[in-house]
Amino acid sequence: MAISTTFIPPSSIIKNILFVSLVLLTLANCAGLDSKNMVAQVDETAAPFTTGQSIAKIEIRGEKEEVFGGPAFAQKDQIIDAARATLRNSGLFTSVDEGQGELRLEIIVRSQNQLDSMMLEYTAVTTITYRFTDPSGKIVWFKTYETEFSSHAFSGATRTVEAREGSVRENLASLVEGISTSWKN
Amino acid sequence: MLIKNVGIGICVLCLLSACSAAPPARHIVSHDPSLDRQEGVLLLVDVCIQKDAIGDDEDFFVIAESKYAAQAIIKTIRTYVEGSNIPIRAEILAVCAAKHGSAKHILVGDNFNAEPHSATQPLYIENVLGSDEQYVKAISIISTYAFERAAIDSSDNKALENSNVNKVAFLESADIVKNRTSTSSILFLGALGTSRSVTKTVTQGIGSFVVGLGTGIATVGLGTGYYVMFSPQYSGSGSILEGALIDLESGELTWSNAVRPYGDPIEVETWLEPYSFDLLFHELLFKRAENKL
Repeated sequence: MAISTTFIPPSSIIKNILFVSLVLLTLANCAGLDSKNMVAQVDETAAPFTTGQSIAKIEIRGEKEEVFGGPAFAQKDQIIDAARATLRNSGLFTSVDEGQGELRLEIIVRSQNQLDSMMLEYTAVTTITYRFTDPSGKIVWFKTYETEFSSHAFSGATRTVEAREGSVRENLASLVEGISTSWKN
Repeated sequence: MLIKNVGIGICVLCLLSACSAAPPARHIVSHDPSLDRQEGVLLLVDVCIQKDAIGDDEDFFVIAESKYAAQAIIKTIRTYVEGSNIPIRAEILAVCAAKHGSAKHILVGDNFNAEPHSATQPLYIENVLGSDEQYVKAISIISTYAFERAAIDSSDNKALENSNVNKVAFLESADIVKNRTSTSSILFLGALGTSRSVTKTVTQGIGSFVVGLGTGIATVGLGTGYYVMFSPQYSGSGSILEGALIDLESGELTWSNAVRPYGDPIEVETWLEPYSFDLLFHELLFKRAENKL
């Protein structure tokens, strides 16, 4: 029985190694969204403001399902975790989502889109409605914010993750800023 | 040589990735003020789904599947609109209320597998007494008017040469609906779909109804910021979603838009995904304030 052998030129081997390396490099950066990265930083220099009220419960609805190979979208549990941490850090409320208090916060994720991008830029756009109601169901405070955040990360997966986390973080920062400036006690 | 090229490529990509990203942006967004009026909004959903038969002459519109789709749409859109605290005072669910060209009769099947027969439009309107012909006719005229205008470029004067309804008839109809419902505006959502083989384009068979669609749909108000889900070359089963805001106080169609969602229109699941509706109404419901935060 004859044994056939195939000669593989060195350039093909190098090409394959480089290709596999690039794929591995890309996959290595395929981390998912992390709610910790969506928590908005509190402006320490801002004048202290408190509503003097507590949020008994936070509810959320309206998320966008991810598709394999598609861009990253923030999921409901991630947004609610980030919102809870942001509001607690802000000091705007006496307690947040601990079952005590008179307020209910409803977070409605209206859309998670992207802007047209050039080259290695990805800009995520997130639109979220925040609705505070009292025990009678009356709306106490209501606003919708649309925020954008861009990433230039080399890996496409990292790019969409960084941009989405950033756009949610900016949205929560808008919420804190909005309450600080327009809440009426 | 190969290593050199790959190296240069990687260097270019690294340099590009190091470019400064656009700064973060924050906006307060809100819906059109006319939707806040005390009188509230009438939600008008008109769905018309066509079955693509073997020959063009045998294509027919299906009532049951159109009704299911309209019910799914009205549920999805109600949740979407109420999320913005817009008061919905009344709802009208219609099947093929908008006129399809100049034909007085169209071929209709009770469902997808039924034997088609000839019928006049509208094929079905929920919660409206059949004897109230004036009201039924008014809904049909408003739906036709909105549908014809939502997908076209308003600067294209020739696009409406084959229009099935004129401004006078529209104003009279708007007045009738205003008096019947006591609402101050109509949020219209029209869906025109066809369930067909992949060998034909969507615009075939729909006839003259979608006036100026080929040029108009690329210019409607989606902006460049969002996914554009449609393309003129689209083929296979598909549909066109059109949205319009009609101010019953002034009698004007103050806003309109159109998108092409994915999916077979006879599958109810196609209409439960809120993304297409967000794409359609985003500009109307989430208008950015002049100044950034």
